[in-house]
Amino acid sequence: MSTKHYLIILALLTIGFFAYATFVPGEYHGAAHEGIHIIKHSYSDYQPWFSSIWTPPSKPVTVMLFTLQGSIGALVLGYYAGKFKERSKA
Amino acid sequence: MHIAEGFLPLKWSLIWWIVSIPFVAYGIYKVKKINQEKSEIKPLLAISIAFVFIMSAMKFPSVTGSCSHPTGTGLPIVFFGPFVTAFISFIVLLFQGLFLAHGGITTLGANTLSMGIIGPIFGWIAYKIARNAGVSLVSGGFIAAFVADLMTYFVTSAELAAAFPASKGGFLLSLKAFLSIFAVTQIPIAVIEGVAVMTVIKYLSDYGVSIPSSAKTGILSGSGS
Repeated sequence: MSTKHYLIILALLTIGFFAYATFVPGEYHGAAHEGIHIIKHSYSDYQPWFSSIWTPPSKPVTVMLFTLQGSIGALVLGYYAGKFKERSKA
Repeated sequence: MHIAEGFLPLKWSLIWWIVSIPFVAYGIYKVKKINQEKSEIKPLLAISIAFVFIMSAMKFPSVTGSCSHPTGTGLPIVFFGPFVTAFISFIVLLFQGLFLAHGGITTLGANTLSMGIIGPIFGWIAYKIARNAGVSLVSGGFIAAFVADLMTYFVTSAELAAAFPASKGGFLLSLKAFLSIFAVTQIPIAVIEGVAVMTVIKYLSDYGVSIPSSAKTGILSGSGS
């Protein structure tokens, strides 16, 4: 293994340690959720004046749709990655 | 993090929509021009859109105990500049607003302004200055992504603070409160985003993919896309 590989391993271990050391137990809400708390703190009676046209019926459906969004992107990225690799071999 | 549907008062929703429309419209014009005149860089356009789709779908927990997601705008900023990035961000935000109840139609102007316009403009300027200073294309990608990501959340905080100033302390106190959540949460995520952009640019460079000449130049010699 070269010095570069040792540095990558060291970087990964540092990230792992940092993640472990700073872990906050409990549920991780979205930052948007926390922002709404700030608004509600100063404007307790404020209500959104418009609702989403369509809301995913459950949390698993939301997660599935986010995954779908990422998958669409990954599909395109993967297609071109393969194409570029093939082209470089030719 | 995008501002949720209906949360900005009507007046602010309209203002941010009006400010954003010209940038998105010019972005559409630029994309059309790329499609007609520069067919060799069309794959980069598809990759940039795909990259924003992927990155903005990934939620990361952060040190503040909340979670957020990268914007993915670093890649289109490097390759195409801020206007095309505005159009790409608009598409992604529209998708999330319509199908994921993440962001929304009334707040689409505000979210486009932060994620697709102001954030990328700062990222692009930082990138061009870095290139002028001799920073490599790959490392410049990190700088573009990092700056654009952080500025996106700074602008989001400013938009919220303008709409909801604190009763005592006004805009600045409110801005401080929003920044304490969004900016701090975003710092490690901006680093991850920067590394992801570097990886993709390195991969594309290694495989000899043609990169727009404007992406290779500094702010003095490069034409703003």
